[in-house]
Amino acid sequence: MKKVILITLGFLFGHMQEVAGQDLERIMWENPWQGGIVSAGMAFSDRDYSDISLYTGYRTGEFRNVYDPASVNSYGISTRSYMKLGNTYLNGSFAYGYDHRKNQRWLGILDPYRTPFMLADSVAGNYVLESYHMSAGMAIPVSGKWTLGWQLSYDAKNGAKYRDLRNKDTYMDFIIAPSVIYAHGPARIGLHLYFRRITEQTDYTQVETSTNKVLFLFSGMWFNTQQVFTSSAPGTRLLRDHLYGGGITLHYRPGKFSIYDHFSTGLREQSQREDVVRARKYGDVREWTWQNTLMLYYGPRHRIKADVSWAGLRGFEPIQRQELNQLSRLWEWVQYGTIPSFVQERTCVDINYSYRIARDENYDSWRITAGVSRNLFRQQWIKYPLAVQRSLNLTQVYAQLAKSWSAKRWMFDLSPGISYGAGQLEETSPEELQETLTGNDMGFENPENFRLTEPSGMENEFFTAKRIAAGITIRSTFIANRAKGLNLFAEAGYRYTRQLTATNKVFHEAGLSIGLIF
Amino acid sequence: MKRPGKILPVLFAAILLPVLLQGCLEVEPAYSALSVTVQPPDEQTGIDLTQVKIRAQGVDEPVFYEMYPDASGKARLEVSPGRYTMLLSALYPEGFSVSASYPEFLALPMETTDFTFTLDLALSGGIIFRQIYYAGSKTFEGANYTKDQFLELYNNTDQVYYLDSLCVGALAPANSTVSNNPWMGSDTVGLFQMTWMIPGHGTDYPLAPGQSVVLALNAIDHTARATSGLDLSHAHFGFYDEELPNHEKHPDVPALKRIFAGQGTAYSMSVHSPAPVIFRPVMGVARWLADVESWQNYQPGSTSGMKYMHIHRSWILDGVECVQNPANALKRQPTSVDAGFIWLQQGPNLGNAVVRKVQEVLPGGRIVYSDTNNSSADFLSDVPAEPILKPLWP
Repeated sequence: MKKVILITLGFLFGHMQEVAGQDLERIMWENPWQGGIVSAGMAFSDRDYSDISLYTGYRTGEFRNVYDPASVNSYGISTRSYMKLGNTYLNGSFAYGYDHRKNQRWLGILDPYRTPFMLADSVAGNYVLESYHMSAGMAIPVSGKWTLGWQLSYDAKNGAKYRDLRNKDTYMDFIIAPSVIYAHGPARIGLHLYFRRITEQTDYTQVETSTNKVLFLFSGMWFNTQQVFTSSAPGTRLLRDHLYGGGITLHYRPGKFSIYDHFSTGLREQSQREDVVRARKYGDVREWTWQNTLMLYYGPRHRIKADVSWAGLRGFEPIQRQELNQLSRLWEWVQYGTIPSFVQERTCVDINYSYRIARDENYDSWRITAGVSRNLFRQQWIKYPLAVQRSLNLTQVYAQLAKSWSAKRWMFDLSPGISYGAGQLEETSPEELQETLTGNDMGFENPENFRLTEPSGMENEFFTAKRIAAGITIRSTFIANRAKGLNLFAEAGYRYTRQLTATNKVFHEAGLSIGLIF
Repeated sequence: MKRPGKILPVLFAAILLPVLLQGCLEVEPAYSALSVTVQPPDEQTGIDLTQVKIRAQGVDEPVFYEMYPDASGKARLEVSPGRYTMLLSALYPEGFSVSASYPEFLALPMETTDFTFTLDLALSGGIIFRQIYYAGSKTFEGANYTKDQFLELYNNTDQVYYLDSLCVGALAPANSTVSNNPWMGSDTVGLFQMTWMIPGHGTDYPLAPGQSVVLALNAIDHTARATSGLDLSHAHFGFYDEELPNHEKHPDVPALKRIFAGQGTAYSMSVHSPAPVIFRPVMGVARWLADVESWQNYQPGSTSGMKYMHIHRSWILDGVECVQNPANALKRQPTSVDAGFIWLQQGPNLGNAVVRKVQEVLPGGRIVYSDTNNSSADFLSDVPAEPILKPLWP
């Protein structure tokens, strides 16, 4: 689910705290169901919360993944709300984001880890991405013990690159998740199901035709075939993902001690084909995921949180050829099954401890969080009888402190954080599988091009290099109307990451947001 | 509900589950078996079949599988399922080569496909294509430019070769990107439209061992027009006919004779996948052209449309299968002429040609080029076009 993706992004971009006002953080501390997929759990919090904010951000630096642009300017607006109307609990959100990315390359789809089969080009160019997000949820207590809920979410993204070869991406993502909770005394148990559908279209074009541009057809781990882009080359892709899943959530609050555990699992099935009539297919994906979030509370001050997620992906190449349809007299692609050609595993573990001291019912004066995360990422590319494997891991320790001061109608938050990470890479060269020794020789026509070693090396370095990061967030809040809960806030943050190897690459992230809580 | 003390071990076990699941994604690689039986050519039944290289060439990916059969001609390849072509070839020191091929086929998972090949015999050496420049270049304004195409023939033997009445053309279909070849498997092949002949009365144009002759599609100086920088105003012959308004030729360059009119107002080769041939009809050019009923026909399976000149595959002295890429590699050359194919990996309009590999340089400096009737092995691709324009005849 989305949480898996968020954790993955944390892996890719470093450990970043989500920006949220103290009000909302406090609500989520007290009611861990809030904000999750089990919408029925909203009924355990009576506090209303709404905010609207404008934000801008900037990221740049050499210490970045191979798919990341040289710099990104982000702008956006977002609003969200949790409220109780009569006996019904509602939530809703909307967000619009605009990213201007400079010198992005190798990225044919928005998430390159969703499939190993990807069209891409090597020419760095500016890329603009617009994102829209809408969600709504409801919780309805139907008796003293039963609560029903549902959550809907819709995301749409449009991206376009402004240099040949230029790809245009259209992305849509829809989720529906019904849920039910049974509560008895200090015990609560929730069940949820979800269905998610993602559609992404990619279309490559060129404007300038006086030079030849190469389009890369990747099949995982930077193995590829290359073709000079022409109007007759297949430069389109249509990806469709269907995700099905569900899970169980337990919450037990016998006294000072409480425990919350949320487990969710699902299957993602993806197909990919040319976005034309009589299309050729390009690899299916099947991925099992599960994630578990365990939170242990002791009193109002102590919390241990453990997030674990796992995703196992298999890629299947279609076996197909063009055949003449005797009725239509047109050549069509006919598929004769698939073969496994790629394996990918992601495991993320994040355990942290948080301690807070409340100033009043809405705000904390101190909060300290310290934790450790470990991410494992394994890939295997298979072409009988060869297999190439790589295994990456990254372990990070981090700590964050949040201190809040209050002065009349003003409140100031200062939140410094620091993290250190180190990883390892294990990679094999193409080697023959022991159990499939054959009498014939296998080779590649152009081994230096068949696997691109330079971008592969950049990706490996980004995943595993030793790094240290430090950041700080400053937030000021003006309490305009305490009775109505009307607050104005401004927040600024900066984060610095340095790679601790000979190359000494750095990465800078800065952001500013202003908004209204009501 | 269980007490927390009993629930905790279960929950922490869940956290450890990823560790336990490590490695559970291993997959069984799928393969397809190709059972190959190789039979010698009828003319040379005693050849050593273990010299014949069997090569399954991937169509969708640049991957290949190779092996040699046993003395009885049997071999079994295990390949990753997918689309392949099969090429068999061998060059024997006695001066002949053998070859066979199979067009695109689908190797299915966990299935065995049987192939039986009878090898084709061909003489090696003789008059060959040394360089084929078909992909064109650019104008200085950036537009595609194809008028600087040329063919370069080479005498790869140690005997003088007379070029008089040698014919030049390209096989149909004109491009390797179409879905099928109506002439596939036939002993006669169609020429795509215009066909040309070197003039002369039998001994007018001798070509000494190690000499080249350049046939320019437009025998003019292109240096001021195109990025290739080719000056073909000194080419040995030009494809030129006064009835073709879109042809150009320097007045000093002798013209090839257009012996089949074809269609269009100019002769040009496919810029991404021609299949050029040089040939001599065994009955002589005049009788071949006169026998319209036998050699001028519609494409196989058709009774209307365009008529093509046909030739027997045994008349072809040399031919090269230039394709757009391995995924669009429709075979047009008979396998006895070219068991493989060659393509420009960097694409067209870069001023690049396909050029034959040097096999050896003899004492005295004469170069012998590789000629195994397999362009995959004999040619280099993406080589900047550079014709040898040494004057040959007064």
